[in-house]
Amino acid sequence: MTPGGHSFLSSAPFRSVLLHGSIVLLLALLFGVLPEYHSGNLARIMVLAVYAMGYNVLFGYTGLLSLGHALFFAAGMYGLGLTMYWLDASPAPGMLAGLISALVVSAIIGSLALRTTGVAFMIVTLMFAQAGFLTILLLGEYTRGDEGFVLQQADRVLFGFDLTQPAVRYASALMLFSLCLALVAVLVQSRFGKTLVAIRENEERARMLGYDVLRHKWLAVIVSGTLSGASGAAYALLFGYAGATFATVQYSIFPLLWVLLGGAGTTIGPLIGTVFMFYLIDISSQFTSAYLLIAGIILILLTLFAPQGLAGVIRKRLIPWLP
Amino acid sequence: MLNVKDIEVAYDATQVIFGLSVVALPGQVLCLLGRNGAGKTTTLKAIMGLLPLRAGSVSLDEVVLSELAAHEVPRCGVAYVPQGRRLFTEMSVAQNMDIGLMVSGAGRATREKVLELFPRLRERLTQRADTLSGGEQQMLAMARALCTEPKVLLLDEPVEGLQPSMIALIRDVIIRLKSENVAIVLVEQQVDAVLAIADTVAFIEHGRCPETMAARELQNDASQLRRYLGV
Repeated sequence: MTPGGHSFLSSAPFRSVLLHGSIVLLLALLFGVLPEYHSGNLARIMVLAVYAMGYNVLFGYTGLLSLGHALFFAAGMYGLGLTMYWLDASPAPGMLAGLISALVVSAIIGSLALRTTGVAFMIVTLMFAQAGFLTILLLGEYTRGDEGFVLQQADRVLFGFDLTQPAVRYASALMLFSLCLALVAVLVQSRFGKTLVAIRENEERARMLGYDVLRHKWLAVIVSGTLSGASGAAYALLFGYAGATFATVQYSIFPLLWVLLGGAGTTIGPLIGTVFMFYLIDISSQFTSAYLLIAGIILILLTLFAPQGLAGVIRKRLIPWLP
Repeated sequence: MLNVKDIEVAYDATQVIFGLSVVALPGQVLCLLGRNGAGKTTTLKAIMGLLPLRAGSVSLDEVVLSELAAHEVPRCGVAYVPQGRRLFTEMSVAQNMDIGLMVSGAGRATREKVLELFPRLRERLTQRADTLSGGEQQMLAMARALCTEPKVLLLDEPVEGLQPSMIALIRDVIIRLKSENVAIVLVEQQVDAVLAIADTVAFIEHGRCPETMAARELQNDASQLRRYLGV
């Protein structure tokens, strides 16, 4: 660790660029190296990691545990999906519709759910997400409910690039991922990000020092929900399908697990957690049909021996300045 | 000048402050002295807007603090160091101070000034707050509060449980702040810790302030201490 506060603080942005830049570079190089099956997986993982990063803004940095993020993911997914499916919108306005939809939904849910704290917040977010899921089923005429709908290959062309091509899809996923990673990296170093951490650490103290805690939490829900929505929209666009399964409670639990495993309150934790969980299930299912048992045992062991997640261990043992 | 006027405060149905009034002047130390449960800490929380007033008002110069939201009070120049210190334990010393600096938008000059008051913190800038000793944590809590450049500093039992050398250090800082025209409100139970630095003593009893007197008078005549504190 460097001595003195100021040299430490002033070098933080440089280290951040170096770290996150290397990760993006590594992911770009991996496409050339990995066989097609794995690069396809990685494209999916990068999109889902954006979901985890969004979740991490609220859970890892603000200390709010939501059990209803599937609603934001689905808001993005259906915002894009429905405008493309019913209004024949092209991907760019579709993506915008997805983002706006997630932003509006998270602003509304945030303003209501933040009236509660702790366990009540978890329950309220869970209930809103269930209500969202049921609404999707109820509007089955438009959403095609559980069955979902497929976005045609011919429509999934962005600025002349065919998003169904593996290379284009990988590049698009990487671009979205890099953009969101950069956004989060800047956010957590900013005044806003530091204030969120202060609220996470001691809410009452932050208020006594002069911070509008409720407003900061609300903005955190919006940032978190919109990132989750961006992931949902990109998922529908790149993989061509939107369905109510993505709004179920299972999809609210996933980002929590990814973030817990990878390391809550770290910028790279969400990616690590998503990769880890994806391949944990992928590999264990090759050996046995009881793959969830293996996954479960490993999750329990990790929670016992590395409660701060994988990036948390890295921060503790190797790189104390990990943002 | 911090003016607390006829305030009444209740926790739900239980009223604990009954028409209490005190005044804190710039460059002076006002000490709230009283037994456990007399309402000292409640008074500080009411000043910070953390508890709603049933009646009365709190104002700083021209600004009526009791009409503001709790998070706006510190921005008007009132800082509060609660009992038990309440640091951001997982953050470093420097980060704890940054959180304070961000409130006032103050820069390096303020940071330097505060570190000059607490040289020991400068040696520990990258250390996690929860690894500091009790006295150092108290220093950090005060340092963070001072980073907001307050006109009024509220201290709730700042020397509780600290060793004598640490108490002396903190007392020196309070004297220094006095000379810089900060108004200080000090809550204490221990008379000895206070009399040397206080200008005014306000006795708090059953949620009222029946008597305010100059600390100098009290040193000569201890009968009031016996009456309000039983010592």
